[in-house]
Amino acid sequence: MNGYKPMDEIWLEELREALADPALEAFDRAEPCGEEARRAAYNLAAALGRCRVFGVVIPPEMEGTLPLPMATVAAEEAATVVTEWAEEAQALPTKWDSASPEEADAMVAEVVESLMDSYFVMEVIWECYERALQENDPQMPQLEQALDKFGGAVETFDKILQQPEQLAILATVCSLPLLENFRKCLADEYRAILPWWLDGTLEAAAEQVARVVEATLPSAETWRRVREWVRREPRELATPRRHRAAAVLSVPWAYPVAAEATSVTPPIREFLEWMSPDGRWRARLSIPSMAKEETPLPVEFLAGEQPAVELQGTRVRLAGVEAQIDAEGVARFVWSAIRQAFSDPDAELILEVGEEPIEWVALGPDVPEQHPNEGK
Amino acid sequence: MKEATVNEKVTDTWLTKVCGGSVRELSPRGAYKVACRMGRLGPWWLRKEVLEAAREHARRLFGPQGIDLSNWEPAGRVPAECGSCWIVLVNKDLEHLGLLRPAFVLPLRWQSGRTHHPHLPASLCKVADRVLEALRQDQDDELTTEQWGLAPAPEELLAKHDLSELGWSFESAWASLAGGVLLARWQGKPDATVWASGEWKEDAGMIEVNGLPAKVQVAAEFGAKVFFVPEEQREEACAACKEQGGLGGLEIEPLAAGKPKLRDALRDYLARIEVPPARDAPREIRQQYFLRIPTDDLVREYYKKNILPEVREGDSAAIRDLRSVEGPHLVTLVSKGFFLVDLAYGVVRPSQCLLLYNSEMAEEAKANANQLTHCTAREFFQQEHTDLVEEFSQLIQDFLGDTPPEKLVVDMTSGQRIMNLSLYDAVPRGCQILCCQTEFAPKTRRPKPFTETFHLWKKS
Repeated sequence: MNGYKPMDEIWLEELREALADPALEAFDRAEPCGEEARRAAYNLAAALGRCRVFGVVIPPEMEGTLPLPMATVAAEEAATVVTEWAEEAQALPTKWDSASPEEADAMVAEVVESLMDSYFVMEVIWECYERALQENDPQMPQLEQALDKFGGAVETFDKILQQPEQLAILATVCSLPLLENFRKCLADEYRAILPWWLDGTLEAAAEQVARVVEATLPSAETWRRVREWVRREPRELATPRRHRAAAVLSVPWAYPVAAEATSVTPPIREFLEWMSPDGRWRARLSIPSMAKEETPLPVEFLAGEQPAVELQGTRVRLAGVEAQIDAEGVARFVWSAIRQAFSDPDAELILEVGEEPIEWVALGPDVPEQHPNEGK
Repeated sequence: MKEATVNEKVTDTWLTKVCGGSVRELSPRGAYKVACRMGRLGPWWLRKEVLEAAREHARRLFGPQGIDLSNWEPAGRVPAECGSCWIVLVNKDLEHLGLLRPAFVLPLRWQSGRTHHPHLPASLCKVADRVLEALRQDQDDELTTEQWGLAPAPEELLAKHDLSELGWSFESAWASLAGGVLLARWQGKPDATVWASGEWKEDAGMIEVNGLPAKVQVAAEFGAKVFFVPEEQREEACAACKEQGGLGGLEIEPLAAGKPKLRDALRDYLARIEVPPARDAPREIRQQYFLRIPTDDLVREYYKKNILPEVREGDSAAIRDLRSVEGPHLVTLVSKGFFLVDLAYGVVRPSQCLLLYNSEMAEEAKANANQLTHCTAREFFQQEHTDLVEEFSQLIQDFLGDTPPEKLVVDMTSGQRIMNLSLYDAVPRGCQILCCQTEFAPKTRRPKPFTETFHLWKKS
């Protein structure tokens, strides 16, 4: 909990106003929702979500989760709103080019605030969904459908903003204190896994751009060259991403139990991947769904989908823990050792390779994949 | 940012990308990656060779005991909870989906009061809607006003996979879906060893389906003992079983052709697939099951095993008095009334039993006498009251011998009125008169279990 700050009172006031919106009465009357009711539901979700994410202490008379029908409508409205933002984001480079410096700052700040708004709403909708799952609410399928649509719109919005041109423009927000302010406001539990625009991605993109700008005059010609550069070198803009320790720390322990386990969870929960700075190799860490103290954490080093046998003997460090790549292109770490390297799930999970350790680039889900049968 | 989406959307394109190629050319590393991407669908849809190779690679990475790989074994049994059903899909594109089985299973669940799950293929949901509509048009009062929704089997976590944009055909799922929703309505559980594939058309009844050889094979892999197919394809399915070495003795049974009502076409399938409610199931469940069993033999067997013991242990005054009669001798009339002889015999538990029958009931009498122990059947020939009294008196005297009349229990439940009245006049004073009244189900004319009321009095 962050305790009371002056901003808390402002956010509580916004929540109070959102709760008091007469348009919400449409839900009490169980009648079809017009535009005003839809917007009211969305505003309430955003206001409540903001309080949650920023750790505002909500008085009991205002505390609670959204009723499922309202959450469904809020999710539907959010999907519409985020889709509009995504369309605007496509046009961001053109608008930004012709804006004054003050307008440009306002433009990128608005995008970040949109991202935060969608984050707030998603938290509240998800909260309602988890409650509906527990209660086996018969209206859950409608919420699931709305949630899928909302999630899809967010995914599209994220993808557009992470295109090199948009990302470079958005990174200019680092010159403002906006990102740091948002980070400071986050409740402790939300700092464990930061959204991408707060986890250093924008700062790293800004650094890349700054290196190019350093060598040129800050003119329109400079920005034109920057745009050409980012279009040619999309991979380098992927480098700012770093995986977080939460991926490892959140793996549950496999305690021995007397009763027979009947879980249907697949054995591997996810992959974390990195790429060498020159793009020649990939590293793939398999995260198991459950681990014991001595469970290995294998990192496969690959050229395409083939083991990078040429890297045999190379030293590797993951979270500072050392291992060596074997003849099959695998470096094995012990899960407990990696866990012990972290106490903070928000800490960065860095992979370094070579005698003079070089950090490899963390990869996200939008990097093109190679089919397992290719490259044989 | 917390995501609302689940695993990647499973579309035809996505499947081609992930499961394309051939098993022969797939490396263990490649199989490992495929298995990871397929998530919970993997054990159901991937060829066992792919899962085996994936396990091999996982063992190489994690060591032989490093992680639990049991959830990368091929699925071997379908869920069989109330509402469960399962459909068999044929892989029609083995060239482009070479890592998928030739036929695979999608386990599902019917849920009351719900809409169809948004992650199910839209075409499957349409078939489900048509199944419900067809059953309602059968004037099936049970389904007319109720809402039923289909979902991926929840215990298998398959709802995590969004199959909504799969463009496959699910017409052959008619039989399974119809059986599933009816069982769900009856709160019955399916027998996981009974499978079916059949398409229904309103003006044609149950029609042929594709891919039977692959379907019977996958059914056998899942431990199926009987597979119902459209009647015209029974030979084809039998031949397919034979060609594949018998498939563990898999029985092929027909879904009746030429039936105008869907439920009629599914009659035998429904009788086989429903697991009879056990003796400790609620009375209402057992009662409803008893009333819909299609064959008399099964009815008798079920009644004796799962209903009669409880009826017999009832605490009515009549039952208590019956228990006080040591070594009772039972006399009853064989009639068209369903199961009445069995009921009287089961309640009285006689040391000796006399079945009286006329020529019309000769066959039933012999069948009853064969099934019941210490039981004798005697034909009577008279039709007029006075003659009947005389004939009955003689038969009973022969039956009783030296046994005192206090041990005689005469069941008046069954038989035509003239026979009952004559029998009453014929039996000696001091014997016990027994009469059982039950409610009758209007459609089947069967007595409704647990509505039995027994009356017992001494003839003075």
